[in-house]
Amino acid sequence: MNPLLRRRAERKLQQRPLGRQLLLSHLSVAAVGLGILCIALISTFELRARVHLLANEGVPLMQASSQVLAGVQHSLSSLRGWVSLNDQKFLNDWQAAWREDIQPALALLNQECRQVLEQACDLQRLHHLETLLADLQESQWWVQDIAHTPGNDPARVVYLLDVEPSADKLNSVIAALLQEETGQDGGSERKILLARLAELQNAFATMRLLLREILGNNGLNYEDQFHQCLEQTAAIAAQLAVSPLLTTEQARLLNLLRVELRAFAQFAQEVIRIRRSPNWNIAMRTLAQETDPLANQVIALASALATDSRIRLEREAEAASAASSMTVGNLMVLIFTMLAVAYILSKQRAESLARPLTVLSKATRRLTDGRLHEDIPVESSDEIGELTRSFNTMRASMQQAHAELREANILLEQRVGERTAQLATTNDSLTLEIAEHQQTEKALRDSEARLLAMTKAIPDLVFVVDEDGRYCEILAARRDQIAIGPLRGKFLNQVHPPEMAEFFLDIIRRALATQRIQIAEYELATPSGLRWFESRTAPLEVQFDAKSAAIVVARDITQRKQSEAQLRQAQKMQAIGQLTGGIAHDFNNLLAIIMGNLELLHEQLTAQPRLHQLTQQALKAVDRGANLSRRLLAFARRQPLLAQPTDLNQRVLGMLDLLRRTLGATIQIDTILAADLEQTLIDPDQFENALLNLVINARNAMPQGGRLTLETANVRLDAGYAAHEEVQPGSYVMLAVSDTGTGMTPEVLERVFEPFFTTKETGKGSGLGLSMVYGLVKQSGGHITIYSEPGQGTTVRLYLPPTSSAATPAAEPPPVADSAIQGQGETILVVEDDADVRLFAVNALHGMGYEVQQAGDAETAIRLLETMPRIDLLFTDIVLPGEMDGVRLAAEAQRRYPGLRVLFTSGYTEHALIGSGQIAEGVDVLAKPYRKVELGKKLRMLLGGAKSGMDDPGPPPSSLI
Amino acid sequence: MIPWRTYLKRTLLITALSVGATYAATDAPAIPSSTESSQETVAAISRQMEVFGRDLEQLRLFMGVAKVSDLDIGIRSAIPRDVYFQALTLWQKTDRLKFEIMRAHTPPPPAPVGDIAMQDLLPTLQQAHRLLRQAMDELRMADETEAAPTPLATDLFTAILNLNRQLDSMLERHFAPSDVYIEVTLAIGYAARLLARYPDTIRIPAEPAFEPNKQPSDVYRRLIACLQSITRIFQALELPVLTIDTSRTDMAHLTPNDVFVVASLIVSQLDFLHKRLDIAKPPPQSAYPGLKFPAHTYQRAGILQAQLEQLECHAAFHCPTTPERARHESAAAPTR
Repeated sequence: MNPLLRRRAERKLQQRPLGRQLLLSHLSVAAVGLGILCIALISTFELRARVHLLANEGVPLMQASSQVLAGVQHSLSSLRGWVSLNDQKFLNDWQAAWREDIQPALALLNQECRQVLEQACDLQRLHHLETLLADLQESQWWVQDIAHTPGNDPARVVYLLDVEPSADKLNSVIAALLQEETGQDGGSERKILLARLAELQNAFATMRLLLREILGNNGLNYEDQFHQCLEQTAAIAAQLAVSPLLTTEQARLLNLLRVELRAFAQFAQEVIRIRRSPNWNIAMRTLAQETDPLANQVIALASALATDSRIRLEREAEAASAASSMTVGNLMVLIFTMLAVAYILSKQRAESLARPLTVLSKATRRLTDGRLHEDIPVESSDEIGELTRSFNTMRASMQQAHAELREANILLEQRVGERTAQLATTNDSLTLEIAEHQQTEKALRDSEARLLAMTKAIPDLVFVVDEDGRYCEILAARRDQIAIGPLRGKFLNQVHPPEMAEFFLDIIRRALATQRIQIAEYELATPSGLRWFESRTAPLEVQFDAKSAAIVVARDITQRKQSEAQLRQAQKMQAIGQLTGGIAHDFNNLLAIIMGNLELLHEQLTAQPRLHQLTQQALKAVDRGANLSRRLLAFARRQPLLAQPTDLNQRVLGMLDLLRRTLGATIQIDTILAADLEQTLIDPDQFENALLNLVINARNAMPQGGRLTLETANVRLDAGYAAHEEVQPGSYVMLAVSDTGTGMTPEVLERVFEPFFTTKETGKGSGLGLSMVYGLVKQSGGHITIYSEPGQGTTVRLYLPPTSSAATPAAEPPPVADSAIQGQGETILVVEDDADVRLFAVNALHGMGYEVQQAGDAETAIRLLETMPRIDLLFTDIVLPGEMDGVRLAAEAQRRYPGLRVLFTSGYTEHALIGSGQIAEGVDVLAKPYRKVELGKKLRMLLGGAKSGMDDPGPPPSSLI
Repeated sequence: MIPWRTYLKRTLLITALSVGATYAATDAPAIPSSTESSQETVAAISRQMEVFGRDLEQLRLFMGVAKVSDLDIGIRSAIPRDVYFQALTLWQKTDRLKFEIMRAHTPPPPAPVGDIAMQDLLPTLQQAHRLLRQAMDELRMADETEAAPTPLATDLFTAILNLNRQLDSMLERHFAPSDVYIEVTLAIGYAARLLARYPDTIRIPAEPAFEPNKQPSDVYRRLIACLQSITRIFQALELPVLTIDTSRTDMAHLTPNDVFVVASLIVSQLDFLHKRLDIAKPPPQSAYPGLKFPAHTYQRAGILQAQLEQLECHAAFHCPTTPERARHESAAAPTR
């Protein structure tokens, strides 16, 4: 463009207001955009038409075909469900498939093909599809209609309509025959005839049942049985027909029966024939032969229609895609063109607008730097010209204001200098004072910290009380013990009960009067219960509010008190144990003598029944005494235990039936057994005895019924718990027996393990049940606790040490019959210090056919072993006089003669043999007192084992030669 | 203006039915009273029925069954096929009676080949009589049949109907609603086959709702309505058909046996049409449905009624929209 013309145009443009210039600029850009939009609309019209065709014509066709396909499949599956399961839901589904899927889809297909896409649709194929669908629907209707009628199974219809009436008639004829025969008098021949008739009745009933079974799905398996039964029935009928005993009426009935039986056989053959035929189920046959092929045709045709629709749809989609690509290309070209035009127009306008603004900007910078001293020339009359004029006015005002400001600033700087000098002087003096104050505060804080640390370190209560009983200072206080809020300023009788307040005031006044430390022990109620305290009260030289005062240091000694009480209880239980053990031992020896002699007497008095009975009663009394003695030994932890690794869960479950019978119907048993319970080392029989004792106690505590809970768990007792109880810390296997019974008072609880202590009436309980449990648990290295509250119930917990050994069931020795205790001339060496007991043992062994050698002490026994040619078994008391007791004697004898059988006997087992109270493996013990039979059985058991050992290639264990 | 598709359809229908109707009209099996051989046939049938009736009466007296009074069920027909189907029913009942006495069935007589004529009746009646005699022999009754009397000019159809009624009364297991149900189901099968010729029809319409407390007379009325529909179809096709006049029918004394007669007549008419139109596929064999009450049969007859209305509509060429026509009278009017 000519520069002159351009400048003129610009000038002409600059004469217009700025708003109009911008409006013109935007309108020109919008005109270009509108033009492009029109072109884009025209381009997308073709695309829209394609998509419309696609959506309105292709998609519904394909969807309808697919819906027909899905509907047919749905109807087939529903029909099969109805035929197989006879569930109304399937029938409803079948109807819904036709009503909601197939028929609407077919209508849509018709509409689309006949009205919208008439040229494109294959009408002949659609007509074929309609016909097939109608055939299919009709076929399915017949299947569903017949599926669950009796007629669907023709064999069953024959059975119902033909066989059943015939069978009823046969039954009535047989019944008439039987009735006729029952009325006849006669001998055994008539009875035989009656039996034959009954046989006929049974055979026919069986035949009828078999025929009914044949109707079932696998009924043909019974066909052979049915034929056999039929032949049998016919044979019986034929035999009966020639019987000379028949009356005229019976002959008539029998003839009738044979005729009806022939008819029955024919009907049965018909039933079997139909049942054999592959078409015995009409619905299934129709499904397989008619409905399924029709459905397959429909599915094939509908699939073909769907495929055609899909191909057409794909073709249309491709066309639409091509149109879309073209439209996008056109739009891209137009957009780039529009951008270029808009850029050029905008650039021209921006430059014309920016030029005067750039001049203004430069002038502003110069004004800021103070280098603008003249006005900017005004070149236009628009908004920018106005802005330039305003800028010139502002420049003049600013230059004047700047000069005035400079003068005021100089004056202000002078005044600030003077004031600053005064403030510096004052500041120095204040700094000195603050430093001194900080040093004093630090010293005070250090002192307080030391005092606080000291009082915190004191575990006791420390406080100052004046002579009137008022708390003056609380130097250290455990809030968990005296949670009564702030004490300072309160009086003793405001904090404690009157008698305790008086007690404390008396101590304080005594300390002030005597000027000596007063020591006192007392029990005080605290938030954590009753606790014991030991207090030391010392007079103070300083006065509080002009009153004398004393400092009190109170220490919690509850734990110490409890330990002392437990120690006393343990010592008491140990003393009782020693006492009962000692008594039981001597008692057992006495009982052994009495029992032995009574038994000998009993054997010899068989000819005198009265005396024989008296000795029998005496022996029973001795048995009761022995039982009592065993329970005392159990409490004294001196009973022989056959400890084995034992699964408590298994034992508890094994006893549940017994426990239920013991507890009765009014008490419910709950078990909470740990799944991963560890094994424990305990005598299982004694454990079961102990559990039974606990359960019986629980039952007695629940006379009106209740709930008993048996719980097992692996638990760990920590050192804190062990410190309060007589138990080693560590892992334990726990068994808890809880009841909802009457519970126990603390007084009863304190004495509950003592032997012979019982709350029952005299003669109702021995008072040894819990004692025995206590002894067993302690002897097994365990621990026992009882928690009980009156009216709430009781929980007894047994803690037994775990073992890593697997539980192996104890090998039960073969039982020895009472009659098989006779010896076979074996030699027994009896070692017993008590002459009377020894005498009984020797006599008993002689009586059983053994050769016997005897000794009163170990040394004599050793000599006998050396001199005697053959000793088969050493039978020795564990407790022997002298340096060598029975255990050492046995060890020495077995060292010299390996394999020698040993049988110990003892009144109790407090000895090295038993160590922790458990019998060592391979050793057998016969507890005193014992009966002759028990002795005989033990010997046969041991000697029998020796004989079986003779089969081994090694030396015989009992041989001392 | 008739759409071209409907026009085409009607043309096809007219052609199909006209061929059948012409064939039926030329071979219309009316009683051949004009020819000598037909007279002989009728005479033979009459004689056979007379003998049968006499033996039946003898047996009735022997069995001690009360005499059944005649009942007019409102059907008049002299068409061989109708008479034949009644004769077939007579055979069925005789066979059932024989079974109840002798515990043995007899194979059914062979179906006539082609159109049913009067001479097809005689073998069926003779076989029914043989069965009756076998039953009498079983009961050791003497043969007291006298020589055949002079031919009777009686209404064969009505005579067989009455024989049927008497025979039914002598059965231990009477013809029951379940037998009617079987017959109506068979008729539905026939009607569905006929409707299959018309693509826009619903071959087996939805079953109407179950209405309890129906009596045999209710079923009878609905079946008579079906039969009337059939007569209209036949009339439209210019085919000979039975007549119905229920004005003298004593509804209170109708038994399932009488209803069965109407149902069997419907089957006979539809069977005729089926053969006329040369439909290859036979209807499904209906099966024993178990215990059924008149209400069940009434419900099932509703399907048949809806089918026949569609057929009637197509036969009369005035079907507006077929699905709407696929309704039974229960849907259109309140239950009586």
